Amino acid sequence: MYKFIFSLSAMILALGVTVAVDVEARPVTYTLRTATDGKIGGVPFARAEVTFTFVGDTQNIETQQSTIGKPIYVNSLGQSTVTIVEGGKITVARVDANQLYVRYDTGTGIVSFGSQKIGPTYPVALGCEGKFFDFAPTTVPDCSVGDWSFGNYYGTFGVFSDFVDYGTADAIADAENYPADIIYYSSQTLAMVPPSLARSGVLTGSAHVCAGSYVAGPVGSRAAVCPIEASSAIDTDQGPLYFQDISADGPGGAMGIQVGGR
Amino acid sequence: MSTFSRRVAIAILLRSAAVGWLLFAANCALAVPAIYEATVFTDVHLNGRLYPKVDLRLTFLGDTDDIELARDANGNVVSQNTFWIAKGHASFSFHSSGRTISGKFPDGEIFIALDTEWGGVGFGTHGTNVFEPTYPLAFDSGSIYRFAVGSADLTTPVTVGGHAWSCVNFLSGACSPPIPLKTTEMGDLVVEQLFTQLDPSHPGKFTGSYSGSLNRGTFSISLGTRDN
Repeated sequence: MYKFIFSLSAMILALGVTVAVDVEARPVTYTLRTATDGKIGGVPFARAEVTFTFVGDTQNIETQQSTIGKPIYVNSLGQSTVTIVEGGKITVARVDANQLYVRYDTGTGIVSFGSQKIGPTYPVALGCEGKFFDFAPTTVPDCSVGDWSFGNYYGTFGVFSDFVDYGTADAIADAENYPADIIYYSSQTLAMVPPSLARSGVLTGSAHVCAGSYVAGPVGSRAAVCPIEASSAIDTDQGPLYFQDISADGPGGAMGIQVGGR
Repeated sequence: MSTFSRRVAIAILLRSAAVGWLLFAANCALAVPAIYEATVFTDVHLNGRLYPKVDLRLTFLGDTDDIELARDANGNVVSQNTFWIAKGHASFSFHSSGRTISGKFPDGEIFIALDTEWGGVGFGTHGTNVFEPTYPLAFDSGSIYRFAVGSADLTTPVTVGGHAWSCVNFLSGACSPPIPLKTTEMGDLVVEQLFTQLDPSHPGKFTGSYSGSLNRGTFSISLGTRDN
C-alpha cells in the first residue's frame, strides 16, 4: 500500500500541488518529547520535561514539495496538548485549535511541531543544523538544513562532521543523499525509520527550541542559547505558552508515531 | 592533665562535636525522597509479547541519603566517579492500543547510576552478576554530558536528554542480547536497543559510545513526592 501512496505522492509532487495523499484513514498520535525552557501563563519553567502530543488522522496528511524535490508531510488537523513536568509538578495545557501542526521534511530530515503563527520549526524541531546551535561550518539559518548536511561519519565534509548528533531522521536522509553512507546503518535500523507521518515509528534528532537562530552562549558555559522569545504565544487553556531554550543545553528529542489503536 | 592540656582536649572535643553536627545536619538536609524517571520510544517485550515503538517510562523512587559509590556484584567499588542509588522502588509503564500497561520491579533489580567521568546517567541492573549501568535504559551525550560531567549529584531537580542506550555489555562496543528483567506480577520485561550507527571497519560494533545510538530520551530528577 505504501508503494502506492508514495507513487501517488510523486505524481502529485510533479504537479506541484499540496493535497492529502494517504488514502487510508487511520487515527494517528504524534508524541514528541525533549527537555527545554519556556513560560506558561506567565510562569517560567526551566530544564523541564516537555511532551508535545498531536492526535489526528492519517487521511489529513498533506504533501508539499520541498526545494530539493523531496516530500514534506504535514498533518494540521487534530488536537494538540503540551505536558510540562518540572520538579514533580505536572502541567497539561490543551492547545487551542489551529495553532500547531506536525511536519516532516524528508529532504532535510527535520521533523517538527510547527506553529501557524511563527513557522514550521517552532516550537520544536528535531535534526536541525545551525551555526551556533550545532557548529555548522558556515552561517546558515537554523533549521534550513538538516544535521547530516555538513558531513557524515567519515566525512564528505569530514572536517565538520557532526555525526555524534545524528538521529534517525538524519540517518535516513544521510543514507539517501550519500548512498555510500548506508554502510553505517543496519538495514533493520533504516527499515524501522518511518518514511512519512503515516507509519508508526520513531524520529529522533538534536532538539531546536527557538523562534529564530541560536547564538553563542557565555564562554566556558554553553554552546548556544536562544536569544529571543517568540513574537506570538501559543494559546492554551493554561494561558499563553512560549518556548525559549536557555538552559536545556542541547538535549535532543524523539517523536513517536503511533498509527491506529487509540 | 594540665590546665592547658585540658583546654586543648575540650577544644578538640568541641570541634569534633561541631564537625559531627555539621555532617549530621548536612546529611539530614540531603536526605529527601527523590523520583528518577527515564523515557524513550523503543520496542519492549513483556511476558514474551512484543510491544513495538512504545513510549516507555521507567521510574525509581529513592532517597538522596542512599547515594554512594557504585559497587559491582562482588561488592567492589566500580570507580571513584560512578555513583548510584541501589535502594528504592522501580517501576515501568507504557501505552499500547489505547491502554496503559505498568508494573513493578522487585527491589534490588534496578539501580540509578551516574558516571561523572564519561558523562552518563540512567537505570541499570546487575544482570548475570555483572554491573550493567546502560541496561535497561541510560543516556549519554546531549545535555546529559554536561550535566553528568559537571555538577551532577543526583540531588538537583532537572530534566536532561541525550542518546538513549538499552545496551548490555556496553563497553565492548557491541550490545549483547538484552537481559530479561523480572517484574513482580507481569512476567519478564525486555527492552531493545534500537537504531544504532555501525562501524563498518569493526563489524558488529557501533561507531562510538556517544554516536552509536541514534535514539534519544530524557532523564529527570524530582525531589519530594509526585503530589507536592
